[in-house]
Amino acid sequence: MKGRHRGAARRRPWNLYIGLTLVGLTAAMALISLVWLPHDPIETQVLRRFQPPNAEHWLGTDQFGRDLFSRVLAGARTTLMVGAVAVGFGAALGAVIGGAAAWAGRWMDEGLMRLMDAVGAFPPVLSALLLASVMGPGAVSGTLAIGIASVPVFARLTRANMLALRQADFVEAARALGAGDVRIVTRHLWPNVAGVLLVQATITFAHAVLAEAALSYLGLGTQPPAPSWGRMLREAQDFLVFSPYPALFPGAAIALTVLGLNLLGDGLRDRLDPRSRRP
Amino acid sequence: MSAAAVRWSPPTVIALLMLLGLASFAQAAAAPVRGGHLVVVQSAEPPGLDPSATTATAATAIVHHNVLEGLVKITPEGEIVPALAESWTVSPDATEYVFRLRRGVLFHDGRPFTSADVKAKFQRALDPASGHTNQLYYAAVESVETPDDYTVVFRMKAPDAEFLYNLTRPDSVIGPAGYDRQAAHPVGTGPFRFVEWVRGSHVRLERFEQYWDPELPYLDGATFRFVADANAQVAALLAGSVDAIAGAATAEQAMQVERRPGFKVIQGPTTSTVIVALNNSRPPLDDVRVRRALSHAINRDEIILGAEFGFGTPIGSHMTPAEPYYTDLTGVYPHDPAKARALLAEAGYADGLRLTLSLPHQYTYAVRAGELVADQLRRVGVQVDIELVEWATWLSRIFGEADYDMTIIGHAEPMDISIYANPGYYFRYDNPRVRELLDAARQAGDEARRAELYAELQAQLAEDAVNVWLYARPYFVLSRADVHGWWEALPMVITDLTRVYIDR
Amino acid sequence: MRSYVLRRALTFLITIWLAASLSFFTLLVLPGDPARLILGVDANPQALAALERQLGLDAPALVRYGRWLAGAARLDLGSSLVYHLPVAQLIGQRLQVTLPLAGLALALATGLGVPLGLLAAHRRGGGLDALVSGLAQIGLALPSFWLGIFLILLFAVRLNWLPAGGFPGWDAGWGPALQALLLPAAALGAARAASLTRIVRAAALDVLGRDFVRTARAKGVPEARVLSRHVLRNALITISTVIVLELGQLLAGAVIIEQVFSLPGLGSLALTAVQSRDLPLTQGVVVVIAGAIVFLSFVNDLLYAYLDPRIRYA
Repeated sequence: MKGRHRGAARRRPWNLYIGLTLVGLTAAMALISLVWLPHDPIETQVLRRFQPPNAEHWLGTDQFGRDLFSRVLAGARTTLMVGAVAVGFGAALGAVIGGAAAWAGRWMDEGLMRLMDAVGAFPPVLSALLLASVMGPGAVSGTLAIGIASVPVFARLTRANMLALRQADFVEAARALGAGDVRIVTRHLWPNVAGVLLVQATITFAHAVLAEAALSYLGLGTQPPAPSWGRMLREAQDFLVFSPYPALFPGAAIALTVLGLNLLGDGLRDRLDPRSRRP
Repeated sequence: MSAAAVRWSPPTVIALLMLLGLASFAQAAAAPVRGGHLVVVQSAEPPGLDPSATTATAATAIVHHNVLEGLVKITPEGEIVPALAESWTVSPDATEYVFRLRRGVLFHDGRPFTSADVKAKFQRALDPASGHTNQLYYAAVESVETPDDYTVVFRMKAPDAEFLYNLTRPDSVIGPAGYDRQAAHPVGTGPFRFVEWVRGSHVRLERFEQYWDPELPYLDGATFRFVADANAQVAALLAGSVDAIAGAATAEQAMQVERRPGFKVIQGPTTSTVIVALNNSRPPLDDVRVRRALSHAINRDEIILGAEFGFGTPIGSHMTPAEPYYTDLTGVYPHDPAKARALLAEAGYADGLRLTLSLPHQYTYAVRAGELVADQLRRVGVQVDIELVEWATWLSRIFGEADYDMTIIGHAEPMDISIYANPGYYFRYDNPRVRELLDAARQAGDEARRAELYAELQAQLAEDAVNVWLYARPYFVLSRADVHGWWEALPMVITDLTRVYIDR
Repeated sequence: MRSYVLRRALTFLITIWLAASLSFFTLLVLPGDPARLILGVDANPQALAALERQLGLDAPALVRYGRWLAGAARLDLGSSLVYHLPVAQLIGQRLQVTLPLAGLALALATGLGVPLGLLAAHRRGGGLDALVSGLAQIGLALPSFWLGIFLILLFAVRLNWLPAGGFPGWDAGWGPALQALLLPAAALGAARAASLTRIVRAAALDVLGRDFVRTARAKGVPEARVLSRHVLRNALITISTVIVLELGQLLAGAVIIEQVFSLPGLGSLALTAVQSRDLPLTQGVVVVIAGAIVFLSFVNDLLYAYLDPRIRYA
């Protein structure tokens, strides 16, 4: 066994490295934007609009003469914040629901899973639209919509893994030794499910970044003038013919972040989830 | 009255360049040619096609003048001319209006047009339960009488000098008595008859062969296609799949089209008054010093450049140069951040204050202007939180319940200054002096006196800084160079195709 | 098998009912009412009340819910408040755009994803594999609407080869209609193609590692035949079920792409419906989209059970 896999194990996990680098880059952008920005990202200078990249404005300026580099940096903060909160929310609620369904079984299981199907079948854009209309549009309702949309996948994953593990020998053994339900869940099942959930969280994070961009594009997410990559794209779209940069850079930032997260997710899966390790 | 000449914001280099580019197009004066099918693209699809059941300008742009007509109509120069009424007389005290109807006019369904149709229409307009739009335009009407088939007499409760003007509005169009499917299948007396409406795609019209003016229209037919995206509209025009962009063509579209050979840009004024509406009843905006400070903080030229590429006319009160009785009040609150700060300090907000600016998301110009307004206010110490709201929410929450601090919207209706007389209107502005002036103007028989009263009214509004008036929106038609006969100004939101022709 | 199908069909209905009820009660709390939207800014209270009565909006929420449910049970989705047309008819019109769009995108995704995935699996570890896998990663990371914007800029505005948006209608003929759908389908299908490539590659690798492939190779069967006969056929189980799920993804993803390209599809109808507080229309759209997604996963389960004999019906 060991011999056969030696080659694969020695191969460097490039996806993990590249993924970590790209995600680290986005994180660094977000952190830097907290302490330093070359320009005020919301300051308008209409007479200086549509500048191509130059020494003063490294990525050029947008339709109101705002500095694109500063806006892309500050946008990283928005993106990571919304993504992290949404995924945290989705994973936490999903894990609880999936765990409850697996543990309670029977009609509770059936009911919760059908509810998850219904939520999962709800187009996320539609639920975001509804939430934005109820709570007012903004980062909060956008984040919540993305979080809710990601609950079913975590719930199903938790439930499936819990069910599989419940039959596992070590759980049977623990029960035979008189361990209580709570102890079995927290001590024996949860640590085994956590790795799978972490991988899923990374992938879902990537989806969340795309979803945040899409919602802000539709005006349902982050509100202007706060820099959000999706919103920047929407506003730049009308002026593409005059200057492609205001649409180009935020789009590239989204793509690189999502790419990083996806690669990171793949890399983590190879490490943490031995069953899906690729030959 | 003739439409006032287009006024320009102080020419920044960019605006001047564009002006030179656009001014080079002159309308061809050749004889009109009959025939051809015109395809016009507009951004919004209306919810229904009856202008007396919906106020959507997407509807009036298509059907008003083209399919449905009123007793009188407005010309692009703002003049009121006969339509279904051949002539009319107004009593000197403006309490009795007598209309002589045109004879031999047919509806598109073949029925003859008579005074009974007029009576039925205005009975609906006066019935509060009928769902008729903008009923306040007809509020002064006491009775509608029809002495014979071709005479209609309106008796007024009080003098109303604006009644004739209100009859040119899209709400005043007349359909066959008893016909109730106007919204889905409009039937009128206009030069074009309605053929089909494919939801989400287009509305198709065809020449009405029995139109009362046998010379008109020139076109065999026209299609209004709905394409929301501005880039897609321009690409469709340049690729030749549509003949014109009308309705709400934007400055950035105009700039892309005017450089291309074979296309032309028509630019003129509209009566759309873009304002930062303020909730006058909500502190701290109930303090006139705060409102004046906001007015001083605003740089209109920058906003016009950022939101409309420099097209648009700065205004200082709730009237545009394209309306009668306009006076220029842009000098009342010049851009002066220092003064704005001083006024805020005087009002007790030396440390700044925080306000919410709600922007109707579907109106791009409002969102763009809003981002600039927010930044300009920030510079004088007013922190602005922007929220984008859907149109439905805007209508019910902001317009209906006045639950807002500030919002930006273009008031497209011409001659709508009377809204300031209504304390329940969403500005929540209440000044008896304004009501007196308005009543006096409405009842004044003498034109000069009326102009004087309207000037005073505008000055009073500016004095109170009820809202921050930004600019009058520009009007653009972008079309193939061989399409002629477009309106050169937009005193009302109509894409009038009556005299449009294709010379190919 | 039969009881399994029946049970799944029942849960299918329950899921749709849940989705419809969720949307019904969310819409009820939304600010804004359709009567005001129709009558516009200067509507007086009486006119509003009259129109609300006319539209049936004055009844209590539960009564309206009951009415809607009773109608839906008879497959009658009611009438749009704004358009005054049967909801089913409006949805039918829009499906004529969305279904071909999704179909075209799926065809692009399958046409690209399956061969590329097989190729990458075949050349596992090589430069070609790295290239294809890299491209697939990038394809997954590109936001569809951003791709759409730049496709418009390149192919419509600069090169003028294809329309930038809008839909001429099928009456205009197959050519113009398909041209109008090509760019949106490409924008929509790119991420799906990327996802499919990865799945096909993984599935093929899985099969390649099995004994019967080794046996076939040992017997000297040509590599092309191994791929087409053994690998593809066995990987097809995964691929076909995944394609069914991808179709659901495409339907949901169409909402934003239809906005970018101004297409009169189901997605833009959904936006219009919510924005104009047109409750029956929103309900109809939700039921159709959610129903399609649930139905496709139902079909996916059946297909999987049918294709893979190892699955037992419990």
